[in-house]
This record gives sequence, C-alpha cells and structure tokens, in this order.
Amino acid sequence: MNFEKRSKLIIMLGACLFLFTGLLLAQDEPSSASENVIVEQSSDTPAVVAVSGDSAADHKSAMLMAGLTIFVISIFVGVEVITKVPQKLHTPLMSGSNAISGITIVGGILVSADCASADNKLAVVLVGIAIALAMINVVGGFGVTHRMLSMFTKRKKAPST
Amino acid sequence: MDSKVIYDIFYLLAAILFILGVKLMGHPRTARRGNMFGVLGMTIAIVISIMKANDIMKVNDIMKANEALVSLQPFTLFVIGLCCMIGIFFGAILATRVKMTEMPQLVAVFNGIGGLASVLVAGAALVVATDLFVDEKIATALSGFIGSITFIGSAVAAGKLQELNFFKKGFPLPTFLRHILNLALVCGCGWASYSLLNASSDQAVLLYIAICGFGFVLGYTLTAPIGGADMPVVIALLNSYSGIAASATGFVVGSNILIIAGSLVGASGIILTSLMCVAMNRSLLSVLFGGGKVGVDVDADEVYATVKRTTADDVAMMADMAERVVVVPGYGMAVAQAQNAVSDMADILEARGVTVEYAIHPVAGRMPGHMNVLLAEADVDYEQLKELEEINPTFETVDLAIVLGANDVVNPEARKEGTVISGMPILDVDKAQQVVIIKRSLGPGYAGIPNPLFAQDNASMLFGDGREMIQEIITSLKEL
Repeated sequence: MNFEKRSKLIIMLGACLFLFTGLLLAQDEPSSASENVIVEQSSDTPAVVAVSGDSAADHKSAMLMAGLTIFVISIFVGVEVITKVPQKLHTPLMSGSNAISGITIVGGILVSADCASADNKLAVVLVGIAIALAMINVVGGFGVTHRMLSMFTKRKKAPST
Repeated sequence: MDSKVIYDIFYLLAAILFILGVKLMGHPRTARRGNMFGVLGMTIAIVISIMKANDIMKVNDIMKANEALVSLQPFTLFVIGLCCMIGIFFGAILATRVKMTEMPQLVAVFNGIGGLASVLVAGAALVVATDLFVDEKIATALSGFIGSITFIGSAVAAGKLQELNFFKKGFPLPTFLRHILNLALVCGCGWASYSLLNASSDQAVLLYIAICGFGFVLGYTLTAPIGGADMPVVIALLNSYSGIAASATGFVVGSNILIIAGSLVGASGIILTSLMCVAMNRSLLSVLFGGGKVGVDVDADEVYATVKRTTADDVAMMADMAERVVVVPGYGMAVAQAQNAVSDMADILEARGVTVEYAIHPVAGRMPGHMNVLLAEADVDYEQLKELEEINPTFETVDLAIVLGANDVVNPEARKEGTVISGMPILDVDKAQQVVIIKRSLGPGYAGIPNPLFAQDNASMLFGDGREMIQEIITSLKEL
C-alpha cells in the first residue's frame, strides 16, 4: 500500500512541523508574558509579581504543550483507526465525522459562560447561533449515519440458491 | 475531588467513546454500535459543558453581586437551551427527510455548518477575551480562516452537487489570474493574522472579521472552478477542514475534547482525500488548482469503428445463461436513479442461480462511498459489494459484466503510457467474458478521452437511459 505509506508520512511530517512550531512558541511565551505582568504592576513588589507571572505563563505554556501533544497523538490514533475503515463504509464515516466535528458545540457552551461573565449580550447571542449550528451537525450527522447504517446491516431475504 | 477534575474525566470518557466509535465504524456489523458510541460521547460532552459553564457563571455572579451588577446567567442558560432545541429540530428534519440520493449535498452542507460554527465560537472568544496569548491568537486566526473557507467552499460544493444554475457557470477568470487572486487573498489573510498578534482588542475584532472575509472569498475562488467528477476529493478535503477548524477552536477555548475530536475528523478527511486522489491518479494540487497531465489526442471515430449494439433481450439471454454476473455502477446510475431496478434485476437472476456481484470503484459517484449507499438503500446486501482490489483478479471468471453509467473507471487506456488517465487504477472489466455497457451515447467521460473497451470484441453497447434499459432487461428476463 504505497499511498497509505505516503499519506502517513505526510501527516507525520506535518505533525512534527506543528509540534516544532509549538515548542518555539512555548519557549517564547514565559519571557513576554512575565514582562507584561511586571509592566502592569510596576510599583509594588516587582519581584513577587514577576515570580507569580512566570508561573502563570508556565501554566499557560504547559497547557499549550499538552494541547499540542494531544493534537499530534490523536491525529496518529485517527490515522491508525480510520485506515481500517473499508471503502463501502466511507459515506457513513464522513457523515459520522460530520457529527463529531459538531463538538464545536462544547466550545460554544464554554465560551457563552465567558460572554455572560463579560456582560456581553451580543456575544452570547452570537455563540447561541454557533451552538444551534453545531447542534444541527450533531443531530443531523448522527441521525443520517444511523439511517444509512441501518440500510447496510438490514439483511435481505435469504438467498434462494 | 475538585469538580473541574471530574468534568475533565468525563471529557476524557467522551474522547474515548469517539475513538472507539470510529474504530467500530470499521465493519458493517459493528458500525451501528460505533455510531451509538459517538452519540453517547457527544451527549456526555454537551451535558458536562453546560454544567461547567453554569459553574463558571455562578462564580462570576458572586463577584458581580458584590458590585451590584445584573447577572446574565439565566439569560445565557436560556439561550443555550433554546439554541440546542433549534439545532435538534433542524438536525432531525435534515436527518430524516433528506433522500439518500442527496447524500453528497447533505455531507457538504454539514461540513459548511461545522466550519461556520467554529468561526463564530472563535470570534466570540476573541470579542470577550481580555488578554490573549500569542498562541491563542494564532489559533483564533487559524480557526477563522479555515472555518470561513470551509463554510463558503462547502456552500459552493453543495450548490454544484444540487446542480443549481448559479454554480454551473464555473469561474469567469482565466487560470493564471485566478492563481494571482488566490495568492493575494492568502497574503491578505497572512497580513491580517500577523497584525492580529499585536493588535488591541477593538482592532483585533476588526482584523478577525477581515480574516474571515478573505477566507469567504477564498472559499469561493478555490471551489468554484472545480468540476463535478472531482467532487469526492473536494468533499473529503472540506470534511478534513471542518475538523481542523474545530481543533483550532479547541486551542482558543483551551478545551482538549475539541482538539481530540477535531483532529480525529481532520485525520479522517485527509485519509479519504488521499485515497480519492490515488483512485483518480491525480495529485491533490492538480485537483485544487487545475492542470495536470496532458495526453495524446485520439480520434474517437477511429476507436469506435467496431462498436457493436445489443438489445435488452440479448442482454437478458446472456445474463440468464451466465453463472457469474458483475454490475459496475458509476455516476450514471445515480443520475438515472437506477439502483432499485438494478437490485430487482439481481433478485431475479439470483432466483435462477446466477451469482450477482457489484464492482465499486473508489471514485465512482460524487463522494467517497456514494455507490455503496445507493445500493444499500436499494436492499443490496453489503457482502455483494466488492472493492477494486478484491474483484479485479477474478474478472476472467466473470461471464457477464454490466457497466452502468461508468466510463473512465473502466477505461483500459489507463494501463498504457501517455494518456490523461495513465496509471489510474481501473476495474478490469475488459477481461470479463462478455461486457455490456449501458450508456446514453458514446460521449466521453470526465477525462474527455474515448474508451476502447466499448469497441472490444467481447463488448457491446446498450444505448439508453440506465433505469429504462434495466427495466427492459427485467421484462425480457421474465419472458424467458
């Protein structure tokens, strides 16, 4: 399977590139962030603030690294799992993954809390639209996949030979 | 235990369910359970998110109460609930009402909706954020860019698949100017994203809108010139984009479940894209930007000098005497809505002891797996649907191959050097004992070259509409 190897290689290279960029970013992070904190609160006890700023930034970059690691690894898992799906199930796979990409709804719900905290009604409504759209994806995607798969698994009358 | 930890554990559970669900999609028998795993995972993720959002708002309300501010908590919960209901309502309508023949359009529409949702969520996060880190800004820009391309690109793809007149025209600019325009749009996006990194929050929102604007236009200019037979690649690619956009949104809101699920979808789309490209023997770049191989012009009249015609009666006779019949469906079967007639014909033949199978080329139709869905809808057992690698070595033992509305995927020219389709994997239909091609005319397929199979000694043409011809064969079979 030449093409499989090739596509895997491309994905691997892309993932490594992504991880590398992330590493660079993460290294960049602490210095600039801690500077910001020091500038904001210059008058009182800069030393302590700098330390706390560092730890906040460290936390942030640790989160970024964790996110990138998760991203890269789940792409590998995805590739491994999905290459095993046979051609006849490709359409249900697509509509099923449509439904899974409706996971944006989680992002929408979490951001809506931030919007409420920021007292921004307009943003809440904006996110509401996103939630409705993502929900269409989730319900429509899973529903249509179920419909299709029921057709696939439905047994026809016994062969007459 | 800290409630945040509990929430995260449930998110992890949802992620596991997604991965297992996709894994179970690998076999027709377990696929339905896989889908149910997905539903379960998504339900957990949504419920946990609402609880988590409620917690965040409660904490903020305590702070607000001290400053005598009005709480937005009830309003927000109401909006979330209402929008979920709206989404469920329209989603259920789409899932139950859309015909199986409209599946490619529906998948395209779902891709686009996913992209737009990512654009909105990332945008809202940018509006209310106070201080974003560089990586979050990059993720926001990416989310807006990819999401907006996915949205308009999918809208165009769906319009083309639905054969709306507006999208039939193609694209007015010549190829060279189109490349320049695309490049300019990408540069514009790059500039806006770069400025976003150092912008104040008001500017940032404007720049984000600019990024999305560029993305919208780019989505149109990229997909409008792409022709119908390349749609499987485009849909698979947009599928991947919608996942990557969700993943980028995950980096914006700092949610691992979004990153996991998004990259799962992204990987699935990329794999399908590369499978489709290989099955057409074209590079992704040549599909997206046009161009590609140029073959030697062949005179169609010369190739078709020895074409024989046949009648439905003769085909019925051949099929009745055969031991093994293989149907090779193409997009023409979908256009003629012939799947039910084909299934009926197969039933009659099987009742008379003939083995009937279906040879499915990976790019037959307008999306990955299109033919399988149509035939499954027509009650064909999935065991009878054979993939290219599986059936090709056995074509010599096939007594009768019926090609229904397929052309380029059975063109033996692909085995020769120097043609447009050289190297493309094809179904070895020409090796069957007898071949009948049901087709309206001798017109070329998408590749634009004549097909020597039609003029082969063992081949004959049955000219006419796919469904009508199959029905005529059925009538003749019953009279035998």
